[in-house]
Amino acid sequence: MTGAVTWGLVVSSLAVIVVRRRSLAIALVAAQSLGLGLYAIAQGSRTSTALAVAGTVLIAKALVLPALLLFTVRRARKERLIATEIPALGRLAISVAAALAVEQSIPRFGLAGAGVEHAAVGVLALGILTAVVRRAVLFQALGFLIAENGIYLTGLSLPGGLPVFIELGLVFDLVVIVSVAAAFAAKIHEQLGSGDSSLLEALRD
Amino acid sequence: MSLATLIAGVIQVAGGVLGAPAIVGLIQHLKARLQGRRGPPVLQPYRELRRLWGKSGVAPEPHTFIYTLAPALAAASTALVLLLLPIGGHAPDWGLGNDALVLVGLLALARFTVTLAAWDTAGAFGLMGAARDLMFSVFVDGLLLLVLVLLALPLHSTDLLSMSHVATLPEVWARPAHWAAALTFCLVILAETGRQPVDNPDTHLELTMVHEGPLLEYAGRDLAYLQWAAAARHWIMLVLACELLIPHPGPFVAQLAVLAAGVPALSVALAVCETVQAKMRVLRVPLLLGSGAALCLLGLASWFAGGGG
Amino acid sequence: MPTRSAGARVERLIGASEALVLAGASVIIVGALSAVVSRSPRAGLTVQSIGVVLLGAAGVWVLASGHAVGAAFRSDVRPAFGVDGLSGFFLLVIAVVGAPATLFARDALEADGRGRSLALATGVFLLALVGFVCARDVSTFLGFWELMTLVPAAAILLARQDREARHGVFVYLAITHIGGAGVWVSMLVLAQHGALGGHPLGGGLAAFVACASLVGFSTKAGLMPLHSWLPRAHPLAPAHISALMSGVMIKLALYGLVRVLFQWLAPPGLWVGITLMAVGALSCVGGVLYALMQHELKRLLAFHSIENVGIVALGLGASLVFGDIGQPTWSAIAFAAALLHALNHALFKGLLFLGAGAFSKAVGSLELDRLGGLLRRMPWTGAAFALGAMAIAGLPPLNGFASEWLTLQSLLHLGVASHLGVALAGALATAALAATAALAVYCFVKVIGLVLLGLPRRAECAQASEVPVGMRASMVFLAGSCVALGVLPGLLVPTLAALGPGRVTLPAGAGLSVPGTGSLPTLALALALVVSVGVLARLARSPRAAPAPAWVCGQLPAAGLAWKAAGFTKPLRLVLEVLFRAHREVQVSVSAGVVQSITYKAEVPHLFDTLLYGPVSQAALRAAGVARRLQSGSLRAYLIYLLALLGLLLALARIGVLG
Repeated sequence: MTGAVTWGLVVSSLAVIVVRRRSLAIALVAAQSLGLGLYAIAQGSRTSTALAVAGTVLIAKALVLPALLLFTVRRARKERLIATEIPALGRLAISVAAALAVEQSIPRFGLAGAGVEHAAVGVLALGILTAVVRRAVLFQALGFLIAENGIYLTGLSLPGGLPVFIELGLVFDLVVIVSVAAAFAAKIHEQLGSGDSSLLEALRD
Repeated sequence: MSLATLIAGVIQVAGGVLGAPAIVGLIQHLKARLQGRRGPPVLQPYRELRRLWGKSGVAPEPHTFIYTLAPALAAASTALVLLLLPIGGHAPDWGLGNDALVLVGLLALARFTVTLAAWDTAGAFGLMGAARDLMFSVFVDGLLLLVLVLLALPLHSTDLLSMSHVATLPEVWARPAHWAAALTFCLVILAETGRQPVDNPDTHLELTMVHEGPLLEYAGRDLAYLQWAAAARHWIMLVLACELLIPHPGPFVAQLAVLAAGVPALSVALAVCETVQAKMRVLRVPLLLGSGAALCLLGLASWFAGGGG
Repeated sequence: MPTRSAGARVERLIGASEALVLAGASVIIVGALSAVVSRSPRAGLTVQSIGVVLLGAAGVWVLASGHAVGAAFRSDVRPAFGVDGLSGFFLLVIAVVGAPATLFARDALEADGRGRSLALATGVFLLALVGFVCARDVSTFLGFWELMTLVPAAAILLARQDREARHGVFVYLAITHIGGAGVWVSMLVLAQHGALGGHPLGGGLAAFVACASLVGFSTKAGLMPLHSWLPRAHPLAPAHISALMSGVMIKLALYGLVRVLFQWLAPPGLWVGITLMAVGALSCVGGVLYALMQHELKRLLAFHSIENVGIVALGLGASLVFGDIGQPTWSAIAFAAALLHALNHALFKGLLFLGAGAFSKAVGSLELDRLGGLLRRMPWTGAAFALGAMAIAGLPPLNGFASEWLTLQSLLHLGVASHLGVALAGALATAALAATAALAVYCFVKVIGLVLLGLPRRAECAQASEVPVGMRASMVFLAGSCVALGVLPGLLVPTLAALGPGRVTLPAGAGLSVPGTGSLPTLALALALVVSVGVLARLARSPRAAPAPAWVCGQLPAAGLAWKAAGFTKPLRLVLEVLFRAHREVQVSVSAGVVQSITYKAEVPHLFDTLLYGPVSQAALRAAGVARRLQSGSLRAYLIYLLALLGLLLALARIGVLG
């Protein structure tokens, strides 16, 4: 079970690096988070309720965030120019190489098994690499989510489980969202002279 | 107080106050003779001082107490230097010590007051001389201190009495360091007394004056003080040269004899030097003094190469 | 029984001096705060001066009694304060400048918001100085060090907000902090190895700490070549703050150096002393040469501070070298000479800056070429300023001569030491100091002549009026102290010699009689001078001194014909052309064959700025420009940096270099 989860995480992360369509990538990340959440609930039903709660939170997040991202993707659909991204094979090679390098250098830090450790660190690295090697802005958000999932895997695999990781991750997500919203508000204010949202409705034509 | 110190005290005061103008007179007379003229008599500076003493002074319009006090202060500090000099290796204890650096400091005070007075009268000529005088003093003071280092080497002391005792030791004269100091001190004498090639004391052109410049604004007793102070500088430098830088024997009477013979002899040497040389360009004088500094440093190195101690 | 009562008396004395210190510090705080709260800062400043006097008294008490109060130095990081002999001496230095400066500020500061904030800044500055001197552990030492640097910058910006002030403060803070990193490094290393608590640090680390502290403390002290901030910052501050900066703050940097090199490091070897002497000699000669070429009074005084700090450094270096070659007597004498000169410089530099402040209040601009004739208009200020100038020029019988004499004697006796290298260093240092003294005489003849004597060159100078009594009183007090210390240095020197390394027993008395010299009997010398000047002046006064105009070839003496600063120093500038490299520009405008006007501009650039600071700051800006490309603004680039750093750290951990 654990092995399946970890392999699933790794493969889906690699897939996100490779795929072209953004909606597909979003779906993969959603699947990743769902799988992780179910795993957490399964674990929690056997050991502690905190873990189960964390798992539920994770599933909720797994549904809400990708939905938001899909929504933005749909709205931002427009004729795209051919972007000169690094070819898919190149991306894959770079990320695999880098992730393996990081993975091999990490000493053991006390998770349940060596395989899980390698997988968690690898997924974290792959998440950061996604943000690096892919050009579209969406993938930076996706890469961040993948890295978070790697951290959640670490948290879930610690002997005894440590659900606080998940809660902290959620808090961090909220902080990011709020600060982005604040930055937008400042930009709107600067560009348009007013932040009053009711007045801004007039921009719709 | 022994007889020797009593005699030394009398010579300090009498020689400095009364005998100093005779040195200047002797040099002027000899220069004239060497140049084929009859020249002024040797005692002419005394007549000059007496004449000035009877004249009234001036009070130039924009002046302050600095102008009034400067000649008195210059004469006073030069007079105090007279009390520091060793005569024949002895000196009475006037309570002023016998330190060489105090001597340098008092002479600097005299120079300071005279050059400051040049600013006080709003006239421009004195300042020309004052600026050059101060510029020379920068290099001369450095050189003089190097000479004092060399003189202090044998007995590790800057006391003038022990320095004059050093000159009686034959082993000191066997080494080149003291000879280097003697040669360099000749340059210092030329610079401090204001003789050619450093400065022309006979000039009456304001543009070429150095020491004489600030004296232009004075008359009467003030000028007498300043002229006496210039003569006293000759006395001070020549006595130092005889006491510290001429090998002389130990006994007091013999040292007095060396002094009595040495001061006139050095005056003759100064007169010859002035007649033989022309005045150097002002900006080249520091080079001359710098060569003296190099000589001193060589002397210092030779002292330690020869074994120190 | 007797020992117990003596012990009880000592304890009561210690308790009294502790009480004095605390009282003084709290009075200053009260004064600072009340200066802000009340309508005019005058009362607050008076209270501050009382506090400073109390602290000075405590310092003198500790210095005289020889018993330290408060905590001793400790190596852990717990705030602690204490006063020992050396700290007591520097409390005295703070007091003799701080009290007149605050009294001066009473009349100099306006009773508006800016004046009140400046009064507060003065109080905080005094507290920072006192705190630095009394600090007994690393945290307080470094904390007050930083405060001591920042408060004058704040005071400058409170007083002036123009571009020149901002740039000056920027340069001041930049150079002091970059150099001051050396202080942080050396103090933290010393604290970590427990050297503060009484186990002097030795070995290779001691050499590193010596280097770092030399760089750090000499930057703050203003020794060349790290001095560039001093001539920019000191002229910008208000007069009393300049007096405190020049008189006290740079000495406290040397206090820190003394603590590190003399107490907390095991003797690191001859090179430290020789380096300090070399830096001191360079600062001496360079400082006074550049001072000669200045044409603004406060900047000139700032360069003279560099010169005098160089003299103190020469004394300290000589003391170290004497200790290394095994002459403890002269080591103590050189140390005493350095400390005495620090006190003397505080006195006469404080006096000169306060005088400059008074002149500035009376006439405005302090361009030397546009002053003149102020001695007749402002007799008290002028006379005090002239006395201060004579003291800084090192003329007998004032205090500058006493400490320069002692320093010269130490250097000369280094020149006759047994080792050739040391003797050469001593001889060259002696010659340098002698030349410096003569240059200082040259410079101050020029200053006194341009500022005080001759005809006034501007209408404001012709109509200048004397400053208020408070300002005059503070300057007269400082002038009197110059004379007093010049006449009675022998009372202080044995105590100072006991503070340093080595042991010497000097006979008590007013003058200085040091073995190996002809002695400097200051009291007798001063009396003899005064008496003989009096007698000669009386004899010279003939009854018919006729008033006459000065002879200027038949013209009336006009201010336009008077000499300027550049003209008076021209012989020296020409001789040392290699060092100065002045720029000269003459523009003649001719119209219809007739010369309409001639403009002459000459400037002596600061060689250190063009050769050292200019290239260094250009290189730094270029490097910053290259580094700016790292800040691309692209998230991906930053993530790559993050991954690269992570990979590097992991690789290093794998190899075993880290942890």
